[in-house]
Amino acid sequence: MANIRQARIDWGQLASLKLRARTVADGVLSSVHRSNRHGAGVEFGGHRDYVPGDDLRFLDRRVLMRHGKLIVRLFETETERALNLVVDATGSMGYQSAQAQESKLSFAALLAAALARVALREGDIVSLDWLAGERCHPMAPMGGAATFDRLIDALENVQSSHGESIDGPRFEGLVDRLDRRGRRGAVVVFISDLLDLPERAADGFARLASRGRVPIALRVLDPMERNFSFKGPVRLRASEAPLIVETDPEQVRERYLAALRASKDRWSEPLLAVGGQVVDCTTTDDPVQVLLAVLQAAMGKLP
Amino acid sequence: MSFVTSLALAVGLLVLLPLLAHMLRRGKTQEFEFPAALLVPVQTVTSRRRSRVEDRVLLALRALSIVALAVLGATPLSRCSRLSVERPAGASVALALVIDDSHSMRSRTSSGQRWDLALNGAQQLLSSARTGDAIAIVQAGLPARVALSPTTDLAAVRQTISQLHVTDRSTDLGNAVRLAQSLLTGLPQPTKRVLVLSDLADNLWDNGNIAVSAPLQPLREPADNCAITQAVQQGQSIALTVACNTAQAAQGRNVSVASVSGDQSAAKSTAGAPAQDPPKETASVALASEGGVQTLQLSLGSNAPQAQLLLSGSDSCAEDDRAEVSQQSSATTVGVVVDPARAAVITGGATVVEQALAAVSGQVAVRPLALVPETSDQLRQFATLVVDDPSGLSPESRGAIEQWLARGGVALGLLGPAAQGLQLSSSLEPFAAGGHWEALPSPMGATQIFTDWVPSDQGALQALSRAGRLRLDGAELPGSNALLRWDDGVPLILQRSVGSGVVLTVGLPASVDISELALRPLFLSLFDHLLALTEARRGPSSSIVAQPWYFRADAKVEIQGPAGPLAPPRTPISEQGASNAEPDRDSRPLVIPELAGRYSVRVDDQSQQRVVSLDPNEVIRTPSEPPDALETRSLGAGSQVDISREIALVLLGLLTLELLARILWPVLQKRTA
Repeated sequence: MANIRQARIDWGQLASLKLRARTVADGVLSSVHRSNRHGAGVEFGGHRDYVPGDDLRFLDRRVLMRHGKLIVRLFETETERALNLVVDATGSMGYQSAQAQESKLSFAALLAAALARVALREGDIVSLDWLAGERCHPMAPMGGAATFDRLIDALENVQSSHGESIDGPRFEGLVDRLDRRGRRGAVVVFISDLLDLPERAADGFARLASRGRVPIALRVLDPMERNFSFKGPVRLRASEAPLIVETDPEQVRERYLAALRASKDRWSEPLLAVGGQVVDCTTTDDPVQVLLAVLQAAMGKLP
Repeated sequence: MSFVTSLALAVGLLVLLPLLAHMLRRGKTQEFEFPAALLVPVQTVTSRRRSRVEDRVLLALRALSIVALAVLGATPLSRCSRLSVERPAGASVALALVIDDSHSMRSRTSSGQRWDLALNGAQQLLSSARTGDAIAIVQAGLPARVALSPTTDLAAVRQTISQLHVTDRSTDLGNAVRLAQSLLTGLPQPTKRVLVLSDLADNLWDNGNIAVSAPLQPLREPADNCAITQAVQQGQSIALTVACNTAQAAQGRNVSVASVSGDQSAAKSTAGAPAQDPPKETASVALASEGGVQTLQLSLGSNAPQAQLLLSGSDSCAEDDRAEVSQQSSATTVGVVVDPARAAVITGGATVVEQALAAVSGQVAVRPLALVPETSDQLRQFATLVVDDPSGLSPESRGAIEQWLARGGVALGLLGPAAQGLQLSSSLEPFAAGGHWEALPSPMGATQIFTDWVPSDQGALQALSRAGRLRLDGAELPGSNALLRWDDGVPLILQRSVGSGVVLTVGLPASVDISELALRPLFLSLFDHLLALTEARRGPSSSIVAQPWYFRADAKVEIQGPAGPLAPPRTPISEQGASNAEPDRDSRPLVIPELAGRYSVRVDDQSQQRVVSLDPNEVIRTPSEPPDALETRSLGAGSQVDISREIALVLLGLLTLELLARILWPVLQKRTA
C-alpha cells in the first residue's frame, strides 16, 4: 500500500534516472524524425528575476550595479523550440499501490527527464517548474549538456507534499508565470494525475496555447486508479481533502471509471480546442511508448 | 451451586462463538488511501447499512438463544424475584393473607407506596395459586377483620383483593394474625401458611401452631413521617398534637393554620386530596426536632368555624400533613333529681352527686331538678338524668323518660329506702320493676363483677352497705344485665338498653348516711361510665379512626365523609370483630369511620360535624423485623420462583424469529433490489 505522506521518488528502484532517461530518450530518438535546427538568431525577449541555474552570461550587470537586483535578460531564438516541463508534486502524486512498481511522481520524473533528454539532444532549451512539492527547485529555460544533469538533480530531490491544497489563484499564478516565460512555439508539458486540481485548471492551462505554444497534459495514473480493483467493502481516504468514502468496489466500479473518463474529458475539450492534447498513461506503461505519444501530441498528431 | 449448574452456566460462554463467526464472516472494512476518492460514488453506504442490520439481527438472535439455553440448563438455580406459594409437599396449601390496611401503609418508600407493594405481592401470590388451594384474606387495620373466609374460589379472592383499599386505621397485627390462624385451623390442606403483607409497625404476634411469615422486605423499609393527629379549637386557640416517627421527619417543619369557610363541606377536605379552594394561612408554629408526640398551641386571630392545619415540608406520607380542626365539645348537661337534705354532705354545699360529676368531667353542666320532668320536651335539653332515691315516678314522668331514652338518653337511678313508700300509680320504672328495701344487720360487699369499669382493688367493694340495700332480684326489667352483684348474688348494678338509650340502676342511694357508695371509688367509676355512655350516644365531635359510631335502629342517618357518602349504619356481625365489653352495643347499628377528616352526620333532623383523627401511635411506630426471622425465611411464600417455563418459551420464540428472518430476508432483499 502506498504511503503518500512519506512518499519520495523511488530512486533506488530507478537505479539511475539519468540512465533510464537516456535509454528512454534513445528509444524515442531512434524512432522519430530529428527536428531541424535553424541557428542561433537572438532577439531580446525581456527581463525576469534570476533563478538558480540561469546562465550567468545573461545576467544584466547594469541593473545589478544600479539596483542591486539579480535580473536576467531573455533572448528568443525562433528556430529553437523550448520545452517547458511542469511536474505535479502534490500529495496524490506520491501514491503507489501494490500493483505498481513505482509512484506516480517517480514515473512522472522519468518521463520528464526523458523528454528533456530528447529536447536537449535536439538542441532545444528546457525549463522545469513544479506544482507544489517539497524541496523542489524550478529550473530556468536553458540548454546544453549540463542542463540534463541539473534537471536530474532537481527531479531527484523533489518530494511530494502532503495536505497542500492547490486552489485556483495558485494554479493561475503558475500559469501566468509559464505564460510570461514561455517562448513562442514552446511545448508545455504538464505531468500530473489531474486530481484535486481547481475546477477551471484545464481552461487556465489551455491559455498557454497562445503564441504558437502547444500545451500537453500528461496524465499519470496508478494501475489501481485506472482499474479500481479493490476487493470487498473498503473505506477510501482522499489524499488532499478530508474525505472518506465507504464503498463496495464491485458495485461502483463502472461508475467510477465513467467519472475517471469524464475528468479526462474536462481537460481534453479545452486543450483540443487550442491544439493541445491529454496523454493518458499509467505507471506500469512502457515509458518509451508514453514518450512517443507525447512527442506525437507535440507535433499535433492525434493519438 | 452444583457442578451441573455451573456447567450449564458455562454453556453461556458459547455466546462468543456466533460473535466470532459473525466477525469472520463480515470481516473488518479496510481503509485505504486513494487519491481518486473524490470520483468514487458515495451511495455505497446504503449497502453497508443493509449488511450491518442483517448481520446484527442474526447475531443477536443467536447469542440470546445460547444464553437462554444456558439459563434453562441452570434451572432451578436461575429464578426471578417475585412472590409465589411454596409447596413443600407439592400438595394444595391453605393460605391466609394478612393485608395491613392501616395508615402506615400509605407511606412511600424507594420501592413505591407500601400499600401498592402489598397489593402487588398479594396478586403475585394469587397468580401462583392452583386449584385446590384455600385462601383467606384478613385486614390488619384496627380492628382486625376478615375480608374473605377461606375459599378455593380464586376468582372470589381476586375480586376481594381488587376491592381492598388503604385506610387510616391503626395497626392490629396481633389480632389479625390470630384471626388468620383461626381461619386456617381445621382446613384439610396439609400445608397451612399465614402470610403477613405489612410494614410490621406492630409485630406483636406469636407464631402459634401455624407458621407466619412476612415475605415482603421492601414494606419494612423505613420512611420518615410526621402527621397532625389531633387538633381541637378552644375559643381562639387550637391545641394540636403532632406525631413524628423520627427526629429527621420533624426537622425544620411547622404547622400552619388555614381558615376554611363554614360552608365547605367535609367532602371537600378529603384526606389525601387537596381542597379545591386553597385555604389562606393565618398562623404557624414550628415543630421541635425530635421524634414522638408533640403537643402545640396555636393562636387564632378570629374564631374560625372550620379550620384546617397544614404541615409544611414533605415526608413519606403527604395525606396526613393536613388535618381538620374539631370544635371543643359542648358541655354535657346532666339533670340531677336529688333531695339535698339526704344527699348533701354535712358541711353543706353541692350534693355528692354533683360533686362526683364535677370530679369526673369538667365539661359537665349539672342542672338540679326538684322533680322528675313529666314531658319529653323538658327532658330534651338533658343528655343524662340522675335520679337519687326516688319515691316513685308518676306515669307522666315514666312516659317522658321512655321517649327520651328511646332517642338516646342515659338515665341513672340510685334507688334507696324511699322506694318503700311508693304512691298510688307510681313505680320505679324504667329503673326497676319493683324491689324492696332490706335492712342489713351488718355491712355487705359486692364481689361478682361482670364489667371492666368497676374497680376491683382489694377492699374497694367491701362493706358497701351501711344500713341496708334495695333488693333488685326479681325486679329486673326485661333486657337488664347485672354488671355487679352483692356477695349473695343479688344484683347491685343493672344496665338495660331502651331504644338508643341506656338505663343504669343501682341498689344503693348516694346518701352517705345510708350507704358507703358515695365514699368509694365505685361511685366515681359509675359516673365516669355514665358519661361515657352519654358521649357514645350523643356522638363525639372528635374521635379516633375506627372508633365506632352507634345509632338508633330506627334513626335515619346520613353521613358525608372525606371520601364521599358512607354506607348507612348496620348491625355489626363480623365488623365488630374480637372484643366488645359493652353488651348493649352489639345490637345497635354502627358506622366505623375509616378515614381521618371531617364528617357531616345527620341523624333524623339534627346535623353534627365530627372530626376523626389519626392514632398518634400509628404514626410514631416504625417498621421492624419479624419476631422470628429464621422461621419467616424458611416458611411461607418464596421470593424466588422457577422460571424454566418462561425461559423455554423465550428460547422457542428466538429460534422461530431466526427462522423467519432467514426466510423473509432474501425476499425483502429482492424487493428492495
